[in-house]
Amino acid sequence: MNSKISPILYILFGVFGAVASNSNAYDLKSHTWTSDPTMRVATISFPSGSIWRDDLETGVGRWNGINGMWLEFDLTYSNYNSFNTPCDNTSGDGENNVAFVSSAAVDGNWGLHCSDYDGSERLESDIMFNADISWNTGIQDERVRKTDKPTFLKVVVHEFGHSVGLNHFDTEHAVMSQGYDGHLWWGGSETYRHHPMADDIQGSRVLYSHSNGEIDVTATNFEMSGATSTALWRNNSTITNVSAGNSVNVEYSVANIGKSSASFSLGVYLSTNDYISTSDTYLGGFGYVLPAHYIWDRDKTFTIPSNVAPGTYYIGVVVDTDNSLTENRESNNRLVFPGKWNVN
Amino acid sequence: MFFRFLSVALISLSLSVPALAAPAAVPPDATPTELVAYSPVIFTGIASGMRYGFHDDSKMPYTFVQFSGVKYLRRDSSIGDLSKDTVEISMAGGLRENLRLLEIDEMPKFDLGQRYLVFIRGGSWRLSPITALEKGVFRLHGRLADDALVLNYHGQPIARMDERQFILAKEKSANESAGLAEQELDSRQASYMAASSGRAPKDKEKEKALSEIVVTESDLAREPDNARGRFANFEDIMTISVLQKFIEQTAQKTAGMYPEFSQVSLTPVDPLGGKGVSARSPSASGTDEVRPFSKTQVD
Repeated sequence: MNSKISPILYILFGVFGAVASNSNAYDLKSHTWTSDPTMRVATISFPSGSIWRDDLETGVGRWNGINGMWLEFDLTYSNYNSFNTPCDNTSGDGENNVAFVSSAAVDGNWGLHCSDYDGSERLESDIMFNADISWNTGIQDERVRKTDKPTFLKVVVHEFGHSVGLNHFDTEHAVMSQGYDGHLWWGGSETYRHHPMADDIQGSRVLYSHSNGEIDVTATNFEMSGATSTALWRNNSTITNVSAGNSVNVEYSVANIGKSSASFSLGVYLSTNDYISTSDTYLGGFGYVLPAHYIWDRDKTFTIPSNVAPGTYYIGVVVDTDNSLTENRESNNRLVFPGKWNVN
Repeated sequence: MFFRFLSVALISLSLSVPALAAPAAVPPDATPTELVAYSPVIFTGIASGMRYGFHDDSKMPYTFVQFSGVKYLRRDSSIGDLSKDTVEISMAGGLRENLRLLEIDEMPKFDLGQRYLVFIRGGSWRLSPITALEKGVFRLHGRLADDALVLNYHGQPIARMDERQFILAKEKSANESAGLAEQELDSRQASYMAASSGRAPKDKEKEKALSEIVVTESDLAREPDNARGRFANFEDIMTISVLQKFIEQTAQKTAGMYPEFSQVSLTPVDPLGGKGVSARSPSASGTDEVRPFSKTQVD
């Protein structure tokens, strides 16, 4: 059916066209920035010193901090109370507005990105957030989040990803994944949560290629799609009983979000505290070679050594255990799984 | 090839736009139960036509999508011409009179010729009548008569649902078949790591182990979205008959619980009144959502 459509029709009709790729999950817009955009932030929504401004700047920094792409957002704060946006009944006001607005203005969505464009030229990019709902603020651990409230920082990263020029992806491991439960990238450390992942980053680099390199490997864990067990959808009070000498099953994802292929090791450890390190009890490990921008879901079973003393432990992973890689980010190399394991 | 295309015909509709009615919000992360509860109309149909247009004197363009061969899984509210098997819905976004284009990222986009399952929300709306936007759109793979497979909006096969979401089907050894491999560190290496404060084996040893793993970009290539047999390697994909049964049961269980979502409208409201948007403080009136179905167990 689609294959019978002539290329001419595709050209005529492809104004919302996705950039198809057989090897990558990212989905790019046809209209992008030609220079660093200035986003006009409403101070009534983001007052100085507020958690809202902190989260906004953190979220924007997630994109600005990607090496190997030249695009950076500039934020300017402005005291305005009303504005026109391409998705009201006007053609917008030519400013790239960022503001909280009524739920009606975003049709009940948590966030909304509206853009006007002419051919490939982006004319306006407005990002609006729902002011009529409650939010979680700050950096959240989505694995153990106990409320239905959306996390503001994550929605910031997602909506600015649209402004970068990314559409929704068909992958769970991306901030541009559609749907809240799809945003399963937590990152290996608290400071790395709600961060663009392999496909997000690769798409951004395709749009705004820059010669700067980046070396970065990391790991996360998740509820494996389609798995019969949901054991990894844990919370911090989840305690799993296991006898020394018996096995435990863990799921994690290992990722290379750098610009080139990387060889590295990963170790899984049993720890008496939630800071996983290579000095903890080693349960097993693997060597990986992953191409750039690749994430791999793993489901593994490890044996608790028979000489482990009874007690309560944490389990987690460390990537690049021997520090053989000089990474742009070393802070995302550790990951502790939610909950504890009671060894008896 | 995976095409997305939209007609550029500009045909205005003479439809009235009620003003200043506040749309009732559907949670963007609607659960499967909520999807049904908020959707008095649920249908399958083939996307057979698309065009840009306007509602009444609105300056905001909408994309009108026509579905043919429509079959209703739920029709508790009137929608369109009941004597026809076509339905046309519209979503904000498209070509303006000045030939600029409006794109709103949360709006679903449709591929012509693809059969979809679409959840239509009740109550008033401004941007889209589809319940929970992309979450309320599913692709169907195969003929209905053959109990078509259910895929999500992005074309990923769905295995089942739980109380929170639809669970994607698991691909059998997907990455292994794509050429990826990993090298387990053997017991000697493990002992070495434990004995040396967890330090991994040093470079030569490690390099030797890792050199046996060869992965190229071409090894990782995925099949095109619409390739024949794409789903042969997946386990337990949900069929439309299973989802239809869930819809019927859930519709019965939740009937009458959301009167504000009982009637479908195919024309938007404009609560902004053409006056632009007001910037707000986020903390002024934030309220927790009422989610009576979010923890409902799926039968």
